[in-house]
Amino acid sequence: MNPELRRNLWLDFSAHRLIAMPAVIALVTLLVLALSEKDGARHVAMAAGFGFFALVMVWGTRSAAESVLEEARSRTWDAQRMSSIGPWAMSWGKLAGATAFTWYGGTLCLALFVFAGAGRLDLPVLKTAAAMLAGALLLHGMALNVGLLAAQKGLAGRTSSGIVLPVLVVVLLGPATGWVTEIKGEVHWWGWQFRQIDFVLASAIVFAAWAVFGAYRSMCAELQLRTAPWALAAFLCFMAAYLAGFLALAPRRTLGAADAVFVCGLGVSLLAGYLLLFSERTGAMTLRRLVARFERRQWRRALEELPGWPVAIALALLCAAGTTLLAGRDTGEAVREIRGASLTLALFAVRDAALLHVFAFARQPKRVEAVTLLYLALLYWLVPSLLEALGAEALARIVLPKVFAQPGLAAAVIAAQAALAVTIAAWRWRRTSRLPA
Amino acid sequence: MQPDAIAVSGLRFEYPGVVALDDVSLTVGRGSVTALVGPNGAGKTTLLRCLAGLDRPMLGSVAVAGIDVLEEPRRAHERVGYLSDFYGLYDSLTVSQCFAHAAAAHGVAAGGIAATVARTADRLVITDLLARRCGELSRGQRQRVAIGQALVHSPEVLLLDEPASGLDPEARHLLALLFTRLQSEGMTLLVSSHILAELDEYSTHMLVLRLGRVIENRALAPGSDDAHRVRIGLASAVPDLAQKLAGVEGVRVLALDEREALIAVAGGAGAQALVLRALVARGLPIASFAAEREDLQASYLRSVRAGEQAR
Repeated sequence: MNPELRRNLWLDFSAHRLIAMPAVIALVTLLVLALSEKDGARHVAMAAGFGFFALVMVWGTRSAAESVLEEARSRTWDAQRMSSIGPWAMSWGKLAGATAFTWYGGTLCLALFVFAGAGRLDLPVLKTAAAMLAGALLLHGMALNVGLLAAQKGLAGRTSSGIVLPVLVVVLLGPATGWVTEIKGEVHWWGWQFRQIDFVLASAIVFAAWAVFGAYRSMCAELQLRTAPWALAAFLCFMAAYLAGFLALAPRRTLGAADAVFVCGLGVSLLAGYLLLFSERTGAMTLRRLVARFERRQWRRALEELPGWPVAIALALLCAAGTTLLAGRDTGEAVREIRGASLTLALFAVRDAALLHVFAFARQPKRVEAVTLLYLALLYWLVPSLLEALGAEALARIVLPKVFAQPGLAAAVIAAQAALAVTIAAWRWRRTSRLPA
Repeated sequence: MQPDAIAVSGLRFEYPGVVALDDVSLTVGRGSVTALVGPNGAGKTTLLRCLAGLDRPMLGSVAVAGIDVLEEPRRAHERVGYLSDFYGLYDSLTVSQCFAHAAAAHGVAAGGIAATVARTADRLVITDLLARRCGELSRGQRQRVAIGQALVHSPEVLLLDEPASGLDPEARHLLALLFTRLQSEGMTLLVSSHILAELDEYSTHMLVLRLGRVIENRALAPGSDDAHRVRIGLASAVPDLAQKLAGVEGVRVLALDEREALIAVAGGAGAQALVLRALVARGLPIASFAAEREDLQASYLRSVRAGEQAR
């Protein structure tokens, strides 16, 4: 048996807990039946669905993140990293082990949901149950990934709720918004038409696979196994193609396939770039390592130690260039606006990354992310708003140009700002990297 | 020929504004017990973590038990054990479960885990604790469990960072006996500690780090390498003892007064016999002539002084 899975089973399963979980579920079921005047089975199915959500999706997601964070807090993580368990075995051992008890209760709830809900709920029960399973795995994979990133960043001391809550909100809000559906119960994607439940199920399975793969890759990094950052680039390309499917080739859409891929690629790359910029290890040491690799022409090692955010921002710049190259085609005003602004949006990311490194390259960097966020708030909101209020409109546009209305000017201004931020960051880095002999 | 137990070349590790390891190169022979000593901030823990494959150095190479740690960390971990100075235990698991998990996690086959757990508990003299939960143990008992986890898979190389902190004198003595036994079984140990008297009981070699650099890496035990220290006692005072010793081939005077001298002899027992004969021939009233093992404290301070003079 996987050692990590067995350790978790030792920790989480006792005779008392094995009995208590089904007993509590049985009591809740009886309560629901007793309170239901009619359609008792239907209410039980709904309660069981909620039970699965609470047990596996909320508690299980927290447990998946805690599987690493708790070890880092308890100082047992180094011993785990010193083991000879491979990254894949460690990943699935943690995913299955840390959440095993929640799956125990969740499986009972899911079985109840299927048996009680079949023919009584206004949805395909089996496919919904499968989507719930895949969704839970997606959440667990993401939570483990976030937990690993937090441990690497030295944030294990913080509560996992603060780390996991955003994951839950983002993932659960996605399907809830329903923006992917054009016609109730149907999804148009790359010109094909799918039943909504089929599409959601397939998407949940694919994204769960990506989430588990992402956790595996983070585990590789944590276990000092060296990997080139191709997986991130592949994921961003997949996301661009996936999201573009909703915009391209659909009825009443004017967006071409290439346009859609580039626009979506720009969006996901920028989002990923900012997320990684604020979650990965940054600072002079990261750059010093890279410079040392380049100086010794250790290209493979340099690639392996490259953080994810430059990869994402490079992809954003590529997508911006792609949208610009397609400028000759007439695809409607909205697309023209995005096209005009795409380079500026990518340059914003370059400037903001450089700004973060201005603070990260301090001799004794403190709260780099918080300080950067403060300055970004000044640049994006406070200073331009103040200048506008004082009637200094021209000055306000130098701080924050109108990206969509004046794309050329905006690109020039932000390029200048980015160049200035890169220059200051480089100067600070050179100063910081002068170490005592 | 088997490779060295540990071979490090050009290791550099930096923290913001600090060079923790500066071009460190060293080898540690198989079957040795090396005391890793140095002041706080010398880079001892960083070196151990790099050897264990827990931290990746900026530059350099690390091979432990013949395996490139930076290229194949997981394979290296099958043959290396490491005890961190800030270790943790799974408080809800029993000692037996902790050992079983550590054994399985280090690749011990399922069929051999029970025997491995029993052997480890026997080595650490904690068989009576196997059924106890780690959360119920005293600090000294926890320390022994942590050491047991590090060596449960009988690694070729055992890296220990302050292994005796928290142990009472009796437990420290047992630990010294354990390390001596592990060495006799062919295991290589690299032990970092501030308590030099404790290291003195079992160390065969000393590796001195200071400001991230290797000051000295040499054998301590008499009869090996360059450490042939001999204390000479005289039956009566000899005012010109220094001159008489100066002309003896292969002798370097380390300390002396009119009744006693501490010398370093280049060579083994044969060379010592020749030196003794030469001293007697010069008319020195030799009352005692004994090979002496320099205690680690003195050895360390001598290395530090030599390092400072060299600078």
